[in-house]
Amino acid sequence: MRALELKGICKSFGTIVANDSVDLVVEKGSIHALIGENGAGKTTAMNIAAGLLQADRGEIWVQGVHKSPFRQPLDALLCGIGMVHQHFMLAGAMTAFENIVLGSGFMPFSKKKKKEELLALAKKFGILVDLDMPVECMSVGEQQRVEILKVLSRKVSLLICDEPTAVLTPQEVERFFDQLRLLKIQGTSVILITHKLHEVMRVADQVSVFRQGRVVAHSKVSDTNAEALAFAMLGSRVAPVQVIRRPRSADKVLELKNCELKPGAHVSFDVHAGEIVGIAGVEGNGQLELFEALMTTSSLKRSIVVDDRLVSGVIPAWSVWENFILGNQDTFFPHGVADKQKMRQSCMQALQEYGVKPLDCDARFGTLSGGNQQKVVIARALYQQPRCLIAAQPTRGVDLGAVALIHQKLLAARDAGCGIVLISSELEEIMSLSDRIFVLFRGAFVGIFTPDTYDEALLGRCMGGTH
Amino acid sequence: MIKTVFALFFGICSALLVTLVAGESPFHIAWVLTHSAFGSRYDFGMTLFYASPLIFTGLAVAIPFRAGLFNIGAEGQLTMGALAAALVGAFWDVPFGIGCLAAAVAGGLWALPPAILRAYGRGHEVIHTIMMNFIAAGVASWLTLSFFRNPETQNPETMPVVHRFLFQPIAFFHEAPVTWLWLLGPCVALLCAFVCLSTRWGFELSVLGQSERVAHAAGIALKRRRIEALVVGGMLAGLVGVGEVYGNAGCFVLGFSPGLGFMGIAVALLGKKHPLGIIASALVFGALHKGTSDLDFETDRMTRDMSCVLQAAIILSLAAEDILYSKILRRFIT
Repeated sequence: MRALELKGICKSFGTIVANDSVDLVVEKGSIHALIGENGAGKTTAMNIAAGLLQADRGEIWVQGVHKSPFRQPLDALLCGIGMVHQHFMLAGAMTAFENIVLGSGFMPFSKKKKKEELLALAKKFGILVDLDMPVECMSVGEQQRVEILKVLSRKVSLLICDEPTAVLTPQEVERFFDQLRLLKIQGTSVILITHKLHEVMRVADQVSVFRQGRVVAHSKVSDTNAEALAFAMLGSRVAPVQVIRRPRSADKVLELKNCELKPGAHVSFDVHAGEIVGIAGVEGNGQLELFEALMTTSSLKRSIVVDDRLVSGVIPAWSVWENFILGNQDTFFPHGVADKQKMRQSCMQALQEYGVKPLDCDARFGTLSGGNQQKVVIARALYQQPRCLIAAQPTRGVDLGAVALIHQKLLAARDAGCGIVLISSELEEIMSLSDRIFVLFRGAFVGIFTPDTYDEALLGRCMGGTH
Repeated sequence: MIKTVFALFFGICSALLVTLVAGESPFHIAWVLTHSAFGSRYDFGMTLFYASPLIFTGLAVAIPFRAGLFNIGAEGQLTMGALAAALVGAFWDVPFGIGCLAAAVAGGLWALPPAILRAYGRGHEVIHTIMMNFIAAGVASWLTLSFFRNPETQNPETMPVVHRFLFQPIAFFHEAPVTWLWLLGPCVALLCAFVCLSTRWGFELSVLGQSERVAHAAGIALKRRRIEALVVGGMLAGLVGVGEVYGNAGCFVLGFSPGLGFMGIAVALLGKKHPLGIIASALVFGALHKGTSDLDFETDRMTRDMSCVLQAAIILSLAAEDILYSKILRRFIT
């Protein structure tokens, strides 16, 4: 029996083809992973299946029945398809219970009875949630469980999770996977969108690989391996970045003393020339405050890469070259007047060097794909060869090819003597690039590691506050 | 560009349709408006005369607007600018340029308190610039009536400026009070265009106008740029005083401005914050102003208040220009 079948789904946004005839079969009672680079079309296809977007062409079959196209998420829910989004859609000040019943209709209901139902449901699927706790007091993992319970309470038979592990600690990821297995045993099918191959290998039964808007490979997880999947995803092999650690120079480029991130929690640290200092930690443990503090610390020739690129990094409506100038005003406005020729030339050079597509500095920034956008952002930050770079989530929402390039550029900048602060929730990224790692928990450093002293389990425990 | 022109056209047409309700023919009204604005050298001169202060007040709104700030205080700023120009011209034997400078500085100073409150105190510039308008009106009438009043006239005006400061009307426009000072507006607009589009300052202002967070991350001094933007806006509004005092009245007349500062908002909107667009849009509003002033004589039922209807219809159409474009114009183009 098939829980969901997509046949020839096509979807374009303007000139960009997001889905080019996607065919997908999800077996009932299985965990089905969708992998692919960013912009490969996985999320678009699932948004169509969940009724958030409408396909230009193609058919949706649910439980072997051809359904008319979903016009809104409610249509999909009525067919038993629910989606948990990458960014949770919860009202912070309200309790878990209120969030779950929110939007479930206008019919009056008995609170007590509803709560009992929910508790029974939670028990059935082994989801531990305090229904009376305001969502904003919960950890990210708990909030995710609320989201899942919210979707399950609409009696779905197919649960779609978009990048669910991006915000979890390694321990929370474990729990989440147990959850998925339990759902599977109870007969609920799960679609897991991810770009982490090891997660696919660990938890999924089936896997489909997206590339450039198409499903290019499909197989049982037991019949494949991570390397073959990576190959299918990228189309060509990406060599892992080689990191050579070097002795620390005595030259300090940045120093933060007794900075209060959360009430009562202080941090101090320094960054030397030619090293990468990794700041690990689950999001919301003071990273934002630390970033803000670092940004306002005046330092000679420092560059910044913000984590929310489209909100505070660039102006999407402007052209690529106009965005390229941002933060480099000193160089591009000699005596305060624009050197427009130099602006465009330098921008073109950078686009070539970083392999940005399209190779057009007049393109509107917002029309670039995530990976290309981030390449421009990194190129811009490193353009003036800063003494110090503060990079928050430099590879968030970026495809593997671009990740490799960005890592390579960061290491090159380090080798050229730049001191880099790397704030990232990708533990792997932190571990592979950093010369020193600081773990942030509730606004304080709970662990400081050097390359020879860290392992993932220990770091994970520190991130969870149980060191 | 085409969107804006279409919105302007749409706004004028819909305002003309309103005249149907009053029992007038829209075509007749349109003819009266056009004829009255451009029908003779004198009429055209009056159009230019009305447009001149609007260039300044348009810029005074547009420059802060580029930085995301709404300067509603041009009215007060131009009052102080005109008062300063008149006092310098009447009592101080200095070169003409100093008089212009005084007008600009007075306008800029009037914008300074709201600017500082906005940059440092999170006070909202809309509220504070509006309040400063009232204070300007009060201060100007107190100074004029109590200290610098011209005793030889019944009018509430200051002592006349020294003859040396005065510009004579250009004969080409017959009786219309257009002097060579008129060129100051377009020149200043050109300068603004250069500053806004080709300098670091202008670039940083536009970034700030797009997103405060992006500007912050790009290392732009937010507080400083905000203060500068509002003060420059105030200075531009103050320059209205130069044309008014040295080119027209010869003194500061209480209440000389029929809401020029507020019309500047409409001018800036129609000009799309672009300094050169503002020259064009000031001419449009100048023409409308001149055109409607003749409605009193030329029609039976319309009065010059029609200009308010026109302004309102244009502003509403501009606000809806994207919808107008996608719902109406695009069907004809494609």
